[in-house]
Formats: sequence, structure tokens, C-alpha cells
Amino acid sequence: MKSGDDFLIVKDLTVTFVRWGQAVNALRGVNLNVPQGQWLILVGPNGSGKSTLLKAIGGRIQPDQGQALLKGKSITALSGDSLANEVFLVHQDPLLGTAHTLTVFENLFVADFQAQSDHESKKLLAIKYHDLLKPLGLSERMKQPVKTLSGGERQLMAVLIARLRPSSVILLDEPLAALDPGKAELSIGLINELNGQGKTLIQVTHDPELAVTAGDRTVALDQGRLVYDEMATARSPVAIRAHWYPYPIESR
Amino acid sequence: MNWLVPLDIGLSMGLIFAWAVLALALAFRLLSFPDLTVEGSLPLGAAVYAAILKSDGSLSTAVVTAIIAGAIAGGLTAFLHVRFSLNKFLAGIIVVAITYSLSLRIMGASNIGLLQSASLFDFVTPLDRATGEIFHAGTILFLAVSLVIGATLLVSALSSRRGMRLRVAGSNPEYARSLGISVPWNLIFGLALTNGLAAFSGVLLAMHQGFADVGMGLGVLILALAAMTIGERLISEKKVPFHIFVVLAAIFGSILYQVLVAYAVRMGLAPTDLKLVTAVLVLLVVAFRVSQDGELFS
Repeated sequence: MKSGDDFLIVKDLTVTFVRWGQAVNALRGVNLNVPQGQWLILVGPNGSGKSTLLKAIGGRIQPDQGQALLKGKSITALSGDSLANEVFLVHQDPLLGTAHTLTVFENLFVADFQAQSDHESKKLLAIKYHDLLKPLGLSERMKQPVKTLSGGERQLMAVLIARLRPSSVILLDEPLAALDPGKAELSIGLINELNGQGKTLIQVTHDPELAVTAGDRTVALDQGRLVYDEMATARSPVAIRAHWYPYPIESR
Repeated sequence: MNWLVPLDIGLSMGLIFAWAVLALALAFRLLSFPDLTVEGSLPLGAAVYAAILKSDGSLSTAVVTAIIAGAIAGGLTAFLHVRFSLNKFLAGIIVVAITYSLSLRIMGASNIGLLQSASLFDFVTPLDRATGEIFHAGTILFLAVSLVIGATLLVSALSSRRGMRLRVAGSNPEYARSLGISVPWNLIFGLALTNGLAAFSGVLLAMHQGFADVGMGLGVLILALAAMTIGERLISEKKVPFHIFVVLAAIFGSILYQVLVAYAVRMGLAPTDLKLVTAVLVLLVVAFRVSQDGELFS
């Protein structure tokens, strides 16, 4: 485990939605301590509360009980700008991670915190972005609007944008869901680089192999409760897979 | 030289209404806000301008105050939407209703004559006289130059980081929040800007026609929609960035639409049928575009 044990703390987090007049307990008292720089893999069946947990940590929803603390401060107390500078959420839906009417260059420029503070010239930035986009095969499409990219390319862009943000916590909600194996590999490479920059990552996945091979730790949620939490060295593929198939075969 | 008369009218009207078309197009395409306020902010701009001139206010004060009044109307529409989650159309309709009564109050009557008042066109009257009574080259030149300057400023503002943030807020609010961009404030600022442009269109219209009338905004929406739709067929989206495409399409669409209307009226189209013809024209252009994309009736 890396240093910074009190970096991101989720305390007794409870979130309840009302859907068609019925209360849905999305999260039921989840406790989690994520040290700085850790790459946490979050798994669980559909509706287990993974996306809700990311949204609560990302300040998108107000918990009914408990709180998420970042460096000792409640995340819900952070305002728009300071929250965005601390936590960045990469959505599951590729269409949500970029602005479709802006060009590839503009999408990177508007997200690039360093360019904003250093007042770099657009010429120098174009060279920088060209180098960033080259491994993704998008360097020749910098002047094109993002809406001309495929869903997978837009999802890669969203992960690349995370690299330009100053945020110390990056939340990745199934970033590989829309990607073919080749692009998934590229995306994993980008996520590895984010981890290499010392950023704290929480990545949701439905890929059983990734759940045991990627990241420093794997956590499973089921019906809003934390049911599995092991470091990379102690992860059991059988135990993790069991959380996707929680019911006996005959009852399914 | 009678064939020049519709061209003169069409060019003048096209260049004047281009500001209102820009207002609608920028709100609709860049902010994803189908803004009906334009129908209210245009006559409000004209009313404020006329009322100030009639109260012996200066020309510059009248123009600036009129633009501010339009901006407030646009800001109010956005505020009603973001603060009370009011439907975008409903917010626009409410503000149009407010501006109608407000324009009547401000003018103290349903219209104000401005033929004896100072106007920005006074500077180009000698050129108009020099080119004869049929074609007002001075007026057209003045309108064209001011539109080119305004559009250039607008494009450079939208190309700046601040402008990009505005466009991100309009294009993808969720992504904007991820970047710490305030969607409500950008929407309020954006609609204030666009309705300021619509109010300026009202000012130019009042100057050109020599009066301000409370009903002069009637039909502006369908006119602007037609111009925008035509313009988007004229300009290639692939050649320029999207915000420049929107600006160019609005300007050229407005000019072409007004020239076509002027010639159609000259050829015998009854002015009473104009809105019907415009609506059919919009539908035809949309149907043509959809059929080209292979989506008609699918």
C-alpha cells in the first residue's frame, strides 16, 4: 500500500433513491479508505451501487447519510471549480466525456489546466497534443469536431483528458465498456500512465480478468454493501467472480 | 433599374435581421437552447432605443441601453430555466409576454416615430444620395461593415478559452461540470449575449424604418429559423470550426432569405402569405436535408 492513508475516506455512505414510489437502497453504509496513489478496481453486478459510489465520491449526488472525505474535507462541501480540480469523473457513456461540437484540439485545450496557468501558445500546445494523440491514432484529426469520432475514440479522448486535469482523484466508470480489444489496451495504457503520475484511481470494471490483474486492490459491491476487499497480492479470481454470479445456478 | 429595388431592400433587411438570426442560431446551436426570447428582445431593443431618443437622450446611450435591455431579457429567460427548472420554451414565452408589456410601458404608446431623430445611418446619407434613390449603397455598406466587425469579434470571443468554456457548457453540461464550468452562469451569460444581439437588430430596424413598434418582433422567430436553416445548407460544416459555421450560416442565410423574399414580393407574392411561404420553405429545406441523409420516413 502506498503512503497517504487518510487521503480519501468513505464513511458510512448511504444513498437511497425513490423510483416509481419505491425506495431503492443504492448504497448501504459503505466504508472505504483509499490511500493516495492507489489504483482501486471496483466490481459487482449491475445495480450493486458502483456508479452511485463514484457519483457520491465525485460530488454529483448528495448522500443521505455518511460522507466522502478528501484530504479531510467533505467532498460535498467543495465548490464547482475546486471539486473539478480535485476529482475528475470519466463517464461510462462515451458521449458524456467530451463536448461534441468542439474540435479535438479545443476539447483538450479547455481541459488542459497547465496550458491555462502557463499561457502556452496554441502552436506549442498543438505539438504537445499531437504527441499525446499519436499513440491513439488521432493526431491527424485535431481540427475535426469530436462528433466525427467513433464512440470508442471519444472514450479514449475522455481518458486522455483526465491526464490533462490537475485532479488527484480520477474516477473511471467502466472506461473500457465501449472499446474493442485494441482500444481497450490503449486505454489501459493511459490509465497506467495516470497511475504513474501518482493519481488515485477508482476504476469500475465488468472484466473478470482485469479485476484480478489490474490495479493495487479490488473491492466488490453487492446490493449497496461492500462485500469484498483485497489487495492485489491476496486477490482470488474465484472469490471475485462469485460476486458477478451471487446466486446459485438453479435459482437463476 | 427596378430590379435593383428588391436587392436593395433584401440586402438591407438581411443585414439588419442577421443580428437576430445570429441570436437564435448561437442559442440554438451552441447553447442547445431553443430561445423564443428573440421575439421579445428585438422589439424591446427598438422600444428602449426609441424612448431614449424621444427623451432627448444621446444616440450612443440609446443604443447601449437597448442592447443591455435585450441582454437582461435573455438573462431572465436563462435564469427562469436554471433556477426554477422551467421548460426552455416556457421560460422564453413568459419573457416574451413580459417584454411586450414592458415595451408598451417604455414607449407609452404602441409605436414611436423616429424620422426626425438622429441615427447611425446619418453618417452614410451622403453616400446614399450619391448612388441615387434606388440603391442605398451607403446604408448597405454601413450595415455590412458593422456586421463584419461584430461577427469577427463574436468569432474571436467564441474561439477564446472563455468562449470555449461557454460552448462546452452548451454542448455537454455534464462534461462542463467535470471541468468545473458553471453551466447555469454560462447559460445566463450566453443568452444575455445573444439577446443583446437581437436587441441591436431591433435598434437597427427602428433606425432604418424610422419608427419603433411594439409588434415589430412578430414573426421574427420563423424568419430567423428559415434564414438559419437556409444558411446551414449554404455553408459547408466540414470546412470551418462549428462556431464559425454557425455564425456564417446565420449571416448568409439571413441575407439570402431576405433577398429571396424581396424578389418574391416584387413578383407578386402577397405579403400576407409571407409567413406561410416561409414555413413551407423551412419544411422543404429540412425535408431535403433529411432525405439526403437517408432518414426520411425511416
